[in-house]
Amino acid sequence: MLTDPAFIRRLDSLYLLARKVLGGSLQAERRSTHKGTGITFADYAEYYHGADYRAIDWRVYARFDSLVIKLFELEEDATVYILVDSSRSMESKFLYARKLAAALGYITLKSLDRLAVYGLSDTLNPLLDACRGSAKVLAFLRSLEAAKTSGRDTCFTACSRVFQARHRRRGLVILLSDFLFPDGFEEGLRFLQFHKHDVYCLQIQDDADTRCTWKGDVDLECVETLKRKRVTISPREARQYEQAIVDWNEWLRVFCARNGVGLASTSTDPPFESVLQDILRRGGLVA
Amino acid sequence: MTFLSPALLWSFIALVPLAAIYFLKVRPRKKPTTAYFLWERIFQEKRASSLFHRLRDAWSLILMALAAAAICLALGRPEWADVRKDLLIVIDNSASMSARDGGTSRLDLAKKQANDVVQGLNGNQRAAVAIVGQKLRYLSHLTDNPRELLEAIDSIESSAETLDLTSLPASNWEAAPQDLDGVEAPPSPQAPNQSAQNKHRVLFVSDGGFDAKKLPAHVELLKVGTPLDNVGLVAADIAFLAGDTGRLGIYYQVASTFAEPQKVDLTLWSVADDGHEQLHKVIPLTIKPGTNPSETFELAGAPAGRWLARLDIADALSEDNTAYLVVAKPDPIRVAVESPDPFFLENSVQAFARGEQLLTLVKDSPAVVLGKSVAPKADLAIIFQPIGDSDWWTKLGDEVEAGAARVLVEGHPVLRHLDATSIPFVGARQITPAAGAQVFVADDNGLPLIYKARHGNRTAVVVNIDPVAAEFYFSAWFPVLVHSAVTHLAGRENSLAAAYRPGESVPIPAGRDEILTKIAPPQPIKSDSAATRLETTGAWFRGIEKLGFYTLQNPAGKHTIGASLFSPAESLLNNDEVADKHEAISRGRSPTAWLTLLAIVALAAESILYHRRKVG
Repeated sequence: MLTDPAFIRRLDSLYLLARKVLGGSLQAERRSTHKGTGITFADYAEYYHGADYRAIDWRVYARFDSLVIKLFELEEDATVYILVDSSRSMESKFLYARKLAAALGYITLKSLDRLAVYGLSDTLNPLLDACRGSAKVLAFLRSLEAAKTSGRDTCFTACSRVFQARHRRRGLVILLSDFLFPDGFEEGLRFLQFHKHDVYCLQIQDDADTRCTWKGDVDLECVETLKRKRVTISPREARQYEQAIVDWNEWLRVFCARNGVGLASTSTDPPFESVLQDILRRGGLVA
Repeated sequence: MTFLSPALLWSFIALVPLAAIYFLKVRPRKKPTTAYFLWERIFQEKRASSLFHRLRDAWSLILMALAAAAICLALGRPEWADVRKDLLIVIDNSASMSARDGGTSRLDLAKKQANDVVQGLNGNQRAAVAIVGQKLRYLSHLTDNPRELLEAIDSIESSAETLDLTSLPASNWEAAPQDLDGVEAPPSPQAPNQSAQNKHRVLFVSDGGFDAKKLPAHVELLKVGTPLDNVGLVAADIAFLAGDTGRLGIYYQVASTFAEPQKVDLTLWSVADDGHEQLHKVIPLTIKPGTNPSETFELAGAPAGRWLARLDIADALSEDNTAYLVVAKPDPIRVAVESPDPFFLENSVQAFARGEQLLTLVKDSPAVVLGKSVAPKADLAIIFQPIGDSDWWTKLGDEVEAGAARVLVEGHPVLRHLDATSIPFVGARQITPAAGAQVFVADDNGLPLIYKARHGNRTAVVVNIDPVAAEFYFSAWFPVLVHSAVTHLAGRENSLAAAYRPGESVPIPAGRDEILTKIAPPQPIKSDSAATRLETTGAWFRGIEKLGFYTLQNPAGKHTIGASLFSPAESLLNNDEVADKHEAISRGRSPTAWLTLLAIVALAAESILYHRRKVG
């Protein structure tokens, strides 16, 4: 499905929209905070021993009798890491998450940025090794299409450590998940931020996550660990569960806001294009 | 405990599939969840109730098994006792049952006891319901249908009758008169033998307001009520003093069950036709415990008509605090004398005019003509020594010597207080009465000596005697015969008393089978009520059921009678000398009812658990 021509055409239109929204060409123009040898003037600096003579601004020297050198922005290609939650809890939302990942990855590859894609569950599963260029689009989409949910639990913190061990290069880390991690999401997000990654969370939840429509005696079963528990759910317990979900999501929002982590939440109901458009209009994936 | 249908206890086998269904039923639905850890947090807080939760499934099985077992036992129709006889429940409906006992009446207590007994029958025993006051009245058939019995009990209303223990059914339940409330009496046993008695019981539910020694041995007593403090009028009378229509003589007697003497005012009121009451006298009384001696007093300037005697006290029974009395206005019968020698006849009339003013001698418009040796043309006549031709005899012969007199109609009003056989009927003549005549006295040969004949609307009493030759004028029987014959012809042979007890028979003035008498019962009177259309024929009215003033109206005029309780047995409410006397009897709800109730409760509890299981 992700490799259908129709789907790829939808991705194309999204890419064009991204260009229009963000302004200008994205081709290797992701601005770096590092000053370097590019062609765009960035700032002046005092001349120091060993500095490039070619950078001395002689006009300034003529007027002020002071040696300064011109600094230029370093233009470099960015790296985008897409981590898709592929645990069993994402079963009902996995297609939606993959569509969103496909759109984001497509834009990345078209922008000549580097892209790496992983599946998150109890282990970190590589779906696409780091690559760049439009030629990798099809391979990327195929790898997404072939991805399946797996694992017995979601170990976000452990996966973050494995990810960092593999990729020391800083980049934009996009997390697509329901963020219903039994061990919490805080430690993993802090770990990624600690290693200077730009982190953006895309939370996907459906009604089955946020609502409790069962009443009476039920045999609760965890879809990941297959743990079971016989309980009686009265309206009171149902309300408690829904409140717990609301509290959990609110804590995610507060945590992201405090730590400069970008966050967008969506359900599986709206088309994924509209979610992407909304994200792009709000300034892209930069927190 | 025994079971009437033990075979149905095999239904206990149903418990096996029930338990199997239960184990299938309690398996809950599997629900996968993505936020299992959140659910764990929620239910960690509810750990305190987890013990109940674990035991709940076992509770469900226990409750279902309990309900099923109760139903199975109920199907077996268990009984507390196995003695089952046909039961006649007789409820005392006398006036004392209206006494307030602890906020309710004794009758209500009796009805509740009877209800308990009926419910204890469990539909397995036949019973009938009756009430007793002056008479026994059956309210239901002999049936095992509890509903019919309960409806009969519920229909019982208080009455003002006195209790007559002789009205209780005999040991073999002799059939009651068929006209009682239109309910056919329960069938009596074929023969009053011992085996029949063993199959029947008579349960008398009463407050014990009677002499326990007079209670028939076969009647079991279920006593209700406690001793109560009460004061009541147990006797009263009122009448004009002889020869003085301006002074009333009043007689009364009171009784009390208070432990201490009570100071009570007795007030005497006259009641006008429009219901207005006027107080005439207040008599302060000190009423001692028990039945007090009777007392009398006189009251001057008192009118005839309706009177009330009231005891101003709030006690257990209010019905006996008021006596309804009637003072009849003197209305002498107008009597004329037609005779060649009227002296003795006129004096006999005047003798009754001076005292009670029953008769008055007149010359014009007489009601009755008293004649000797004549044949009066009046509508009503008494003829001594018949002579000549008359409508009252068809043939009159010579004088004969009458034989010994014989009374042919014993107890006839004309012969009241009269010893006719001792009268020498000298001068009697051979006589053939008119067709249809009723001969009261005749001699051995059948010669009519005293008879009554009718001709159209006219009636005459003929006395075949020569009073002079027989010296009958000097006989004590002469005025007696005049009095009886005149009052009989005038329809006044039974004078009305000042008051009657409920259930007593009241003589209807001029009442005869062919005369219709309309009766208006006491208040409340509604113009369209059936009570105002009460009618009867005959000489007696036996329908007094309420206390108050009844009005009788027939061609002879309008008469008022007072109905008052006047019964020491009903007023003396200290029933502590009478004790319960009955064999064991199942009362209250049957085991089947309790088992059914238990099953319902168990099912309700299980349904609550099931509801929690289904919808939390």
